[in-house]
Amino acid sequence: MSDGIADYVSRVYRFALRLTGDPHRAEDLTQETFLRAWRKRGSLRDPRATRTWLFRIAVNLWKDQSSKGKPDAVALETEIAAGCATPDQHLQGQEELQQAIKKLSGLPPRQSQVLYLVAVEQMSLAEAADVLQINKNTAKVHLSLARKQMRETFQAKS
Amino acid sequence: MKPIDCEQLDDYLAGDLPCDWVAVFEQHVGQCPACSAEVTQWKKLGTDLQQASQALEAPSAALMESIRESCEPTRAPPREPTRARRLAAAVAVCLTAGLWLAVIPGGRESSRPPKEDHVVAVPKGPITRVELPDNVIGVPVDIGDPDVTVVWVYPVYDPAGESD
Repeated sequence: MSDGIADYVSRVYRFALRLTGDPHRAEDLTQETFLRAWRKRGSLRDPRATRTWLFRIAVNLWKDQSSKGKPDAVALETEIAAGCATPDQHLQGQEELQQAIKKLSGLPPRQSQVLYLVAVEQMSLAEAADVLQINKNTAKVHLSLARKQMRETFQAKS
Repeated sequence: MKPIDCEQLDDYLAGDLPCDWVAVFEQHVGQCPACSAEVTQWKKLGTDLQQASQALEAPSAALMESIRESCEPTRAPPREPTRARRLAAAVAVCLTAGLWLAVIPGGRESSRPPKEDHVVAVPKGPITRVELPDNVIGVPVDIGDPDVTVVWVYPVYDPAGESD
C-alpha cells in the first residue's frame, strides 16, 4: 500500500476510535469510510482536503449507524488497559502514553473528538467544527473544557 | 481592537485568533507566566497525544490490506493471445448467434421490454465484422484485452409496438 493511503488509513482509524470508542467498530467504520470514499472519489475536488473529506465521511457513516440504534461502544480505556491496543510493548514511556490516551478517551465524546482534531490532527477550530458538523463556538467550548480536564492530568504528572 | 489579555487564550490555543492579533498575543504570553504555562502545556499535550495515538492506536495489518484491496484494484496485465482463447471467443460468437436466432425470430420479440443482456465476443483475425439485426443495439465494451472485443447487445424496446 502506498504510504499516502496508509497514512490516511491510520488517521481515519484513530479518528474513528474517537467516534466509536471501540477498536473493532473503529476498524469497521474505517473500512466503510474508505469504501464510500472510493465510490465517491470523483466528488473530491481538492486533494489537499482529502483528510477533512475522509473524516467527514466517517462522521456521516457513524451518524447513520448511531441512528440505526447500534449499541453503545465499550469504553476504549478498558480495551487499552487490557492490552488490546498496545502493539509495541517495548516502547519507552508507554505507561505515560497509555495514561494520555486513557485520559483522552475518558473525556465526553465531543470533547475528545474536538481535542483530537485540534491538538493531534492540528486542524483549525473551523475545520474541526466542519468535520463534526457542529457550530464553531460549540467546538470552542468543547475544546476549552477538554483542555482544562487534560491539564489536570499533566499537573498530576509533573 | 480589544486589549489583548488572558481572555484570548482559548481563541489563541484553538487557532481562532485573528491573524493580526496573534503576534500581539504572543507578546502577552511572553510577559504572562500563567498564559505562558498554559501554552507550554498545550503544546506538550498535542505532542504527547500525537505520540501516544500513533504508538498505541495503529490499525491492524488486516485492515490495511483489506482497504488496499478495496481501493487499489489491480488489473491483470495484457496477455498474449493464445489459440485456446481465440477458440473460446469463436465459440462465444457461435453461441450468441444461436441465441439471436432463438430469441429474435423475425423481429417479433422486438416489442418486448428488455429482460436480459447478451455478450458477444468477436475475435480479431478471421472475423472482422458482425452484422447486427435492426432490432438490437451493440455497444462495444473495453475489457483491456486487445484480442477480444466484447459487445453488449441490447434489444430495442418499442413502447408503441407494446400497445398494439
